[in-house]
Amino acid sequence: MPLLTVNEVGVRFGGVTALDRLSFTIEEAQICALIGPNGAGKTTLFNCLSRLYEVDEGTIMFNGVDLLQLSPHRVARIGVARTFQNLALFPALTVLENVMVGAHTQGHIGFGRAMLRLGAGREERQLRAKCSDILERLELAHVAARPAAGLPFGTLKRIEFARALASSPRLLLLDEPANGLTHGEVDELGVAIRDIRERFDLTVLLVEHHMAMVMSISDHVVVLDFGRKIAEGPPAMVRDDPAVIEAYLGAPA
Amino acid sequence: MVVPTAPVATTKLPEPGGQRVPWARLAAGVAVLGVAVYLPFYFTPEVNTTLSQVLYLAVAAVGLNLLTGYNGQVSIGHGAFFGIGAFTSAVLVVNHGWQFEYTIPVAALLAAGLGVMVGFPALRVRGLYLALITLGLAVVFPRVTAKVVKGTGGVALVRPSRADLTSLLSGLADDQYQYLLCLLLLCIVLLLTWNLMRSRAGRAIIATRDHEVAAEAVGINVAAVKVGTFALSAAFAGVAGSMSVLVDHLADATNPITYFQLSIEFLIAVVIGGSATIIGPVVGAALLVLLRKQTAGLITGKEILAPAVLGGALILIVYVLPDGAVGGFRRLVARLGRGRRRPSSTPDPPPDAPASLTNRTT
Ligand SMILES: Nc1ncnc2c1ncn2[C@@H]1O[C@H](COP(=O)(O)OP(=O)(O)O)[C@@H](O)[C@H]1O
Ligand SMILES: [Mg+2]
Repeated sequence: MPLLTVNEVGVRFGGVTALDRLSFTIEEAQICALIGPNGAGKTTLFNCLSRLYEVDEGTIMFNGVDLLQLSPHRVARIGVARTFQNLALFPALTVLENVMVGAHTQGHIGFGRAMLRLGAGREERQLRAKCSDILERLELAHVAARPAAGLPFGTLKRIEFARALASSPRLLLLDEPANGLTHGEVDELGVAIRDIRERFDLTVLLVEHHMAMVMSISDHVVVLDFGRKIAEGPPAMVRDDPAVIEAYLGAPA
Repeated sequence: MVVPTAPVATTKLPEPGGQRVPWARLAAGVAVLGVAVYLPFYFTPEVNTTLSQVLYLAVAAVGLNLLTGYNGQVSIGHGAFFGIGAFTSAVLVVNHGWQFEYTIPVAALLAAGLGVMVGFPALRVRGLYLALITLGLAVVFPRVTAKVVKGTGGVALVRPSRADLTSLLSGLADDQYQYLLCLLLLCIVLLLTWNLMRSRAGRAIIATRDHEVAAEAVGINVAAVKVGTFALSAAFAGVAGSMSVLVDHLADATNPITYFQLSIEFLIAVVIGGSATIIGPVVGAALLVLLRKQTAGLITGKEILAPAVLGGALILIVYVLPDGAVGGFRRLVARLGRGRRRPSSTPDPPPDAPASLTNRTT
């Protein structure tokens, strides 16, 4: 059974069809890339998966659960984590605290027990250890105690990545993680994603414009244009698909 | 949606997990507490009453800070929660013969209940609109209370007698006992707040303020956090109102703007003390009462000018200390620390590419 099944999903904004009866599946442990020109609907799909947007039609099943029945904060709980195309960190918190917020689903101490310090100290130590470890792996340990505000862009991108990992997800949604990174950093990121997939036993849905990276790390590629799926398959096959080339280079005259 | 966020003074959470014990702070805290306990034995009853007023104002400000400072929900209606607490205690003591101390948890619970009732509609509005709605609450409160509560003479004014509020501890004068009880309550409220803010729940409160969408995406039940914070914040304000009955022997809703004025005072205490800091609202409450006393005495004969002078002083404070007294103190310490720091300390990464963190579009 696939881990994620997107079935006939449609989303419209007024006259704009952002997703047009989109269907695809992701198998467990795959890295699946979702590509397409700007405005193709990639982020819209992410927002449907994290229940920020309501779909107009279709269903989304994750690991046997009807995702569209969940309220947004439940999505993380069943094992779906994401990063944002534009950064969405908590500027007032330190880097470590940002990642610890990412581990929210891993703890359970609420207002009452926190105020009375019943078990809160122990939970703090556990979360802190887990998150410090993730920072270590992403080579962010040296900024752990600094406020997130004011760090370089590439670092912030990696912090978002770390925050998403902190929830121990089964499916990780990465929205243009290489955006704004230098060439060297992009290569490193590609290696890191593969590496993390192995270590954390993850399935990854990746939105990315960086073709070299997409082609080198993904197992499966889905191509969108104007909300419709125009091609799907292994990277090598998709790369040579005439419809894909046309979408990227513009329609021949 | 891009919400214009105030320049958030970097919210410094207390070290999570308590890896390092902050000995210096601990020592300072113990010293301050020692002095605070000694004060009522040194001062006159009048001064002790003023100090007790600082304490209950501080409790209300700590509560408001939880909501407005840490959670980003602006309330200029906390006077209403304070008022609920005050009337609960006053009515229970006067009409039902309760021992005052037992009325405090009831006051907290009723205020929290009203907090939940306001917290739910508050989920749908934010910023100035929320400020307006809460303002309405503070304005409506005395009018509703006047309908419900009839004190002696049929007006909304309940005056517990001195005998109702005497010291439980023999050997302490009433004013000393009142001060010490208020001090104890403030310490409890501060401890609860500090514990909360260095936990998973505390981080959720701040994350919800900083980026709701991202908070939801990591699994935080934003609605529950907001309503919960509202209730807790209201409960603290209710406790403060209860304390005010002990100190002032009065719960009074005859003047329709009393509770509005109080709401503003809580907000002032939070802002000048340092919002989103644990101790800031306490410092702010002390500063506010001090300023009030000073400006009132400054222009004898022209008392009518006092509010203007107070206002001017407040503007000056906010101008000089935009992040409050605590923020100013921290910057001072940081500057002194930098001067002393040895060159071998870790170099700061270059502050290149100051990326916008508050971009809400996803
Ligand atoms: N919240 C929204 N309101 C209106 N239109 C939207 C909204 N979100 C996305 N769209 C539209 O949907 C289309 C797909 O956008 P998006 O998913 O962001 O594309 P991509 O991420 O592939 O670049 C675009 O035409 C965009 O303008
Ligand atoms: Mg996009």
